Amino acid sequence: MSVDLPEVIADRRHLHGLTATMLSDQQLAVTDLFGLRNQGFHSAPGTEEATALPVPATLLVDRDGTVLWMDLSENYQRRSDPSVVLAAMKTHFDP
Amino acid sequence: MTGNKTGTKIGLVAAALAVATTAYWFYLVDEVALPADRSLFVVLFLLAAALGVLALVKRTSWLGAVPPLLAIVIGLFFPVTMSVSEQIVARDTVIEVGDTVPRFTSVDGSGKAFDSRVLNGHLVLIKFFRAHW
Repeated sequence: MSVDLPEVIADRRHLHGLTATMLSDQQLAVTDLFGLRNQGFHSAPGTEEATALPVPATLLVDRDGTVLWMDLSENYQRRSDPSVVLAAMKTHFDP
Repeated sequence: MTGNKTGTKIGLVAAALAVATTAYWFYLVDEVALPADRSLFVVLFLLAAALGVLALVKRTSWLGAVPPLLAIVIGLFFPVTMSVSEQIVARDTVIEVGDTVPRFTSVDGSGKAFDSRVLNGHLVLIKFFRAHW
């Protein structure tokens, strides 16, 4: 989920060979449903498509739609460490 | 003449420090290993900028002014980005562990509609990115 336009998503999927479902949230409608709009300084270049940005976040959700685990970045220069996410998946998805 | 040489040398050291620190920064970003405490980076970048200023004070040749100017720009740019990088969510509305994920609709990279109902019955990892950059 990102504020990228669908065509940008398609381009990056191809460039990086990504296979996961990637969704466009230009208006931050989904971001707002999750309460993840960054309330701090809007530090990204402003575009017509995105006037604000989500806080980088990772969520693990069970089969009933309940959030089992989540990680919010305290600053945008630090994202969820893949090893931390993998460990959380092992704990919550494969107990 | 001696002053010019001194300033040029300091400028080169300043630029080398700025570039090396930047390279290490992006190496750690790539490894997803940027430390939570980035004060060492602040010190190194500001030191590079300060050396850049010192080089110009000591005077350089016209061409020799390029490295210290580069060091000043890089040395100030990164601490500024660090100072605005904090992410803040609205604590009263942010989703939490134990909450049910709200139903949502969106579009994917090919413009196809997506409904979160297709996730029902599956273990799901959801990531929110800022954007492609």
